[in-house]
Amino acid sequence: MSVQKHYINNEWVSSKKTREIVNPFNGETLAVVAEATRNDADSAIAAAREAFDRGPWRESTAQQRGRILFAMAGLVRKHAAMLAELETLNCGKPIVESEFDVNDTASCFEYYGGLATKIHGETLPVPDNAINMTLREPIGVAGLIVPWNYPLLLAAWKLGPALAAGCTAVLKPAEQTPLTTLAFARLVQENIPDLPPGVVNVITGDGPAAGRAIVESMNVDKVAFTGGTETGREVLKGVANSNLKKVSLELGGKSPNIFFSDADLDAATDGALFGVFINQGEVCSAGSRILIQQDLFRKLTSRMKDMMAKIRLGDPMNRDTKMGPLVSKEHLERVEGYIAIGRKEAKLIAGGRRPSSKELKNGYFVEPTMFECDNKARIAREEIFGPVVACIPFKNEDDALQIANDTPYGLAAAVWSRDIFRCLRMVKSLRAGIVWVNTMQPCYVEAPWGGYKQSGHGRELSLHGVEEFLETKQVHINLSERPIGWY
Amino acid sequence: MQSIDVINPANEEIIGQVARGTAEDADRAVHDAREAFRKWRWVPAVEKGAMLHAIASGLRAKQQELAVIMTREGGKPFCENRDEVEWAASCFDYYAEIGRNSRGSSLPPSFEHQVNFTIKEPYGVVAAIIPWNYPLLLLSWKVAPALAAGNTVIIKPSEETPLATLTLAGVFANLPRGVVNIVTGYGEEVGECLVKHPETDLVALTGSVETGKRVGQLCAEQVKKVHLELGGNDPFIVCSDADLEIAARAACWAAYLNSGQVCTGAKRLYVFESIADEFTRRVVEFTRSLKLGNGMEPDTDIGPVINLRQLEDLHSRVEEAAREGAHILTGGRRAPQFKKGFFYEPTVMVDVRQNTRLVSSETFGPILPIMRVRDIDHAIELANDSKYGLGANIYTNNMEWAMKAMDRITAGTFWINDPLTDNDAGPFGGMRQTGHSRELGEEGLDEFRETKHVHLDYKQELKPYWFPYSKYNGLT
Repeated sequence: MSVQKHYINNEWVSSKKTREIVNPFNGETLAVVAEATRNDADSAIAAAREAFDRGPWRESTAQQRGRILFAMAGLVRKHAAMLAELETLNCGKPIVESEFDVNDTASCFEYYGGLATKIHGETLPVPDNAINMTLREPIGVAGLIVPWNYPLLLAAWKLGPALAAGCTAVLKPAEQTPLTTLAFARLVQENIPDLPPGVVNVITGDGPAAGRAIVESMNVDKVAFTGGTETGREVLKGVANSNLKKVSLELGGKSPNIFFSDADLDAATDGALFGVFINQGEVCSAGSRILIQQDLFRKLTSRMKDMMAKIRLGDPMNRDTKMGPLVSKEHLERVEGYIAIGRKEAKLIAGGRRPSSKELKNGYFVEPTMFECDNKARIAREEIFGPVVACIPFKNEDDALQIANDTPYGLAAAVWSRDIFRCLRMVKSLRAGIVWVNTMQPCYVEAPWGGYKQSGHGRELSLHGVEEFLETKQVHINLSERPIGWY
Repeated sequence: MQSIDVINPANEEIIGQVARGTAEDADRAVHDAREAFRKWRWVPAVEKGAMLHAIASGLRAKQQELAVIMTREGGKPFCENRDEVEWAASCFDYYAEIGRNSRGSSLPPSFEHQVNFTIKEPYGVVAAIIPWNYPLLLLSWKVAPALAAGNTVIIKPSEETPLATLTLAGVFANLPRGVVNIVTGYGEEVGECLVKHPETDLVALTGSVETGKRVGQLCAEQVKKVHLELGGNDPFIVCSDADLEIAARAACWAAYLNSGQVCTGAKRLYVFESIADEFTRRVVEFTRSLKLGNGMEPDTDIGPVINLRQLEDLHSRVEEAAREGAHILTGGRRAPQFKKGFFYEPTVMVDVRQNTRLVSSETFGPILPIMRVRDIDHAIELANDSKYGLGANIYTNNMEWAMKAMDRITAGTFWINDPLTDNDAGPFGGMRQTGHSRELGEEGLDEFRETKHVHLDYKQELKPYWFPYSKYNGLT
């Protein structure tokens, strides 16, 4: 198996070390990729630095950057089938979900391609004979650190706005799931000759070596990170201990999905399950705490239990599969560890085991699992990032709100009720960056995404997303030629 | 000099006389405003802001005095007028500093060696033509943003209600001379002169559709910028799940406020059949409890209408609807207990035809016609059956109904469970024949500003696309 190399300065660069990339459905090796050392990371950063400081990219216009992003979108659409298949082989998510992700990836590049020419500063009225305005300029070299749950899509969430703003990028996919990002880099190299060397660089490797090198570099101006909250804390420390680079963080969540007893039962059942089991529960905004009003609790959980039995686990390349394996053996063990904790501190309602079928025995599968507990349980407080849900009963609106906000996280929340007043009261009091009403999980590139509290800093997507890659320069042009006469 | 008598509609007494403005008066005001504009436009936004705050303080200091004058000349209850002065002050405070926030934007240039930006500039001299129903509030909606944007203003109050406006002269006294001017008189006389005057740059009118069309035509001849805020014929939908006591009280307030002389008054009630009888019973009962009287009396709920012409027009519409089959459940006549004054009883009607004049065109009076509808789709269909599009109301807890009505009803403001409230930050204005523009909010400021795009190239060079074309290869 030939080694897939780093993509630095529009060239493929090998590393001293390599890593085997595993298909989580069967444990087989899919590919071998370069494993970045600190030196590899530094040379990618140097290429991005050079491209930003002296390359033709700094003179590129918004229109040109927009056209490049549209070309990227076109490549993703043209090669959608290949990319979706590769995504599923690498991270285990059902092929139908990968197809959605790839389509969303293209949409994201298109959105930022169009937005490039709509980034405005202001002209400001200052009380003097002067022209005062702000110019929006790229921050510089952006380090983009992407997780394994939506590898290509979340790369686009960062790369799209970074390029629209005029930054250059060092993109590091998760060490488990680099394959679609590398395939994308190959497509860009072969098909977008207008993209100058060093603007987009991809290095593969893990957090402790490559990630840390980016975070602590004195030559990176901005780091955009998506991942767990503990790693996010390390990123902030690294930033604080190096050059105080700008930073945006999309971290964990323990998002409440709240059902009042007047909610439509069929829609509620659907929404509760979809909210937490999509992508095997490996979703930062997963509705992993289901809060149910007392008189609905038995009815809804028993419906959910019935329907969970029908969630089809299987080969993620099979179009009928609704749940694939978890991303890795290590992650499976971590999730099973939480299930073991749950068995002690909570009441198991459904699931909780590895599936017994022969077909699945080599994959990292675990059944969709449902517990009943209160909000003090560890499984209700800590992010599990797998198909494990904590169902928590509540009495009334105040109670629901208290439970919902009693978490260190604040990424998302959802409320289900037919009472408009109640929904809006909840919307205003929930401490979360995204609040859905009578639905859970839809995500649009036009709307901001990010968390309150320990779920992160800043926002991705929408105009807010590009702000994270822009500096503001205030320009003050004095129109009086007289000396100020101070001395 | 000729004068106009100002009449108290509650007792028909003459309470004052104002000048009947002429073309010469208009010309002089325009001249002064034009002169003042030369300097006012360059006054820093922060200093303009301080002066607008001072106007707000001046209004508040004269709140009682102004409210008394407004009650006497306009007829509406004192408490409504007292609130109106505060709303006007709040509008001046709102616009005082909004001009500081931004004067345009910088844009991504087409070439790296260029700088592009926009700056917002005032139009120049603004003629603000104000109606009689909210003489100070609607004045503030135009004058505050116009001044904040750097324009100078000529105010033409209604001939019915000029007295409070003239009292404002003292409040405006801290502004440089000529920045705000007030001329009184009739629309056909002094109003048209301001509209047609070649030195006014923008006309902002709140008034009837007929006046709006006339002003629009006159402005079109000069391609003059014009804002028209015209009539309304707002629907008010009550769904089957509404709290009927709250909805009935809300409907009465929305229909009878200021004797129904509000552009956003509820003029057409569409009530779900299943609750129509009970809703109507409550509306009638509550209507009968309301106190008609002189607005200066503290327990008055509803004052007179503005003049005899309005009262007669109103009554003819009610009679016409009754001839066409409508039933009057209460009211329907000039209040007989008053020997003087233009009092019309608050009137509830049912079985009203959608195409009767009372419903199909704007009726300015305390009339509450109730029409039954089958469901939300039927309500939306009838609500949209209008040439106006100012506001619309709905009472429901049903999100689907509320959102459907919000999306489908053609209206500039959509109120859910809280009729007729304004927010200085929220744009106000109408669709269809109600008008052209928006007041309040940032939109309300932009209506008084032009945009200038500045394109600056710091690299002086021969451009490849200039002559001679024999050497030009086209865009690459």
